[in-house]
Amino acid sequence: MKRVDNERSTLVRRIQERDQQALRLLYDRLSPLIYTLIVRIMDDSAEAEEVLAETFWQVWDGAASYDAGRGSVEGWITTLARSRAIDRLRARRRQETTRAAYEATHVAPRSSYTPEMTALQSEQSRAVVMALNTLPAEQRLAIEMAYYQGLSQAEIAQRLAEPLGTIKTRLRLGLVRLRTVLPRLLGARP
Amino acid sequence: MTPEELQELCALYALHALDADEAAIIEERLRAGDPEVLEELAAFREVVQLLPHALPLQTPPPRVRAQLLQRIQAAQPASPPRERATTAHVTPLRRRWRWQPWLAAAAALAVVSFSGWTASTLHTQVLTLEAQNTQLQQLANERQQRLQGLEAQIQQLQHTAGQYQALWTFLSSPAVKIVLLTGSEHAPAAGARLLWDTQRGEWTVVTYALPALPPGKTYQLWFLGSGKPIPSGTFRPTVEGRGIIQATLPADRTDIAGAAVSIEPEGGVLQPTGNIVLVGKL
Repeated sequence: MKRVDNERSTLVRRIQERDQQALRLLYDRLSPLIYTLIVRIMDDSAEAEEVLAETFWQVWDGAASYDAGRGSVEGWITTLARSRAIDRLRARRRQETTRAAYEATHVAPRSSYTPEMTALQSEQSRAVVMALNTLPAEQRLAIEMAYYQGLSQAEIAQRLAEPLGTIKTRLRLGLVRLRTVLPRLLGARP
Repeated sequence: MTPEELQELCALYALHALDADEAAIIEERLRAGDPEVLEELAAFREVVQLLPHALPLQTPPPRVRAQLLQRIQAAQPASPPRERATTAHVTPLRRRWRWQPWLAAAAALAVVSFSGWTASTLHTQVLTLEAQNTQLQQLANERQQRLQGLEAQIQQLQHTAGQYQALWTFLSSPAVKIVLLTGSEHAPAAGARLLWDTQRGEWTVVTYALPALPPGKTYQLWFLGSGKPIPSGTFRPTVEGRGIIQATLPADRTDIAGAAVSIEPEGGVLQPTGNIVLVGKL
C-alpha cells in the first residue's frame, strides 16, 4: 500500500508541474473506483460522468491543495468526489419535492452495503466486504446512509424512526469495529 | 467529555454526520492541534475512505477521459506543452513566425540584388515546411488520440483479466463445494449453482433463466440459518437471466443450511417481502 501511495503522490507532484501524462496515469488508476462511488451516491450514470470529470478537473486545477501529510491521494480524491456528488444530490433533493417527500416517508432500508458484486473483486475489496459483513445490519445501514446519502445523524434517526442516541451508537460501534477488523484482514492477505 | 464521547464525535465527524454545533467542537480541537482528536480522526478517516472498495467496480465510459483531457489541453497556456510524445517531431508554431524577419530580410536582399529566383525558392521552401508542419501536427494529434483509446482498453482488459484470475483461483480451490438452487413456482425454468468456499467462508451464486424483473425491483440473495433469513446482496441478471453475485459470511456462522433468491424493492431489504424464485439446501 505504501508503494502505491508513494507512486500516486509522485503523480500529483507532476500534476502540480502541469504534466498531463501524470494526470492521465492517475485518472487511469483511480477513475473506476471514483466513478463507482459517484454512481452509488447519485444513482444516475449521466450525472456521475459529469461529477467524475469535474472531480479530476479539480485534481488538475487544484493539485497544489493536496497535502500528503493529511492522507493518501486516493483518500483526497475520494473526498473531493463524494463532496461534489453529495452537493448535487442535495440540490436534486431540493428540486424534486415529490421524491423528497417519498424519501422522507419511506424508511425501507437499502442494503447495498451487503456484498453485491458483478464479479469477483480485488483482494482489498474482499477485505472491505468481509469487514462490513462482520457488522450487524443496523450498523451497516446507518453507516451507508451517512456516507452514501450524506445524511446527518439527526436525519438518519428521523428516517429510521429511532432515537438519536441509538443512531450515534450504531455509527460509532460500526466504525470502531471496522477500524479493528480491517487492518487485520488487509494484513492477512498478500 | 469522556473518551467514549470524544470517540463518538470523531467517528461521526469522519462520516460527515455531525450537526454543525458538534462539528464545531471537533474543528476547534483540531485547530488547537489536540493529539487525541487528530489520532482518532485519522484512524476513522482511513476506514471511511476504504468504504467504496466494497462496491462492484464500474468503468467510466472512455468519453469522460477524452473530454477531460480536451478541456485541459484547451486551458493550457500558449507555452510549449511538456509532453515529449506530442512535441518531439513538431515545429512549434511560434518558431515558424520567428522566421518571418529572416524571410523578409532574405526577400529584401533578393530584391536588392535583383535575385528573384532566390526569393521564389525560399518562399516555396517555407510553404513546403509549413505544409509538413501541419501534417505532422495532425499526425501527432491522431496518434495521441489513439494512445488514449489504447490506454483505456488496456485498463479495461487488466480489470477483466484480474476478475478471471480471481475466478480461476476460486474455482480451482479444493475447498469449494457446489450446491444447486432450483426454481420455485414463480420461476420454474430458473436455476443457480452456489459455489461455497468452505475455508474462506465465501459464496458465489451463478444464476440462469431468471425472469426479467418488473421496474423498481431487484433480485436479492438470502442465506437460511437457524433464525431469520440473513440478507445478502442484490443483483440484476442479463437479458438471458444470467447473473453472478458473491457474498462473504462471518466465519462464526456455522448454522447456514441453505440459500434463496427473492424479488425485492430496488436496493434490497432487511427482511424478505417478495416472491422466492430460487431455493436450495446445503
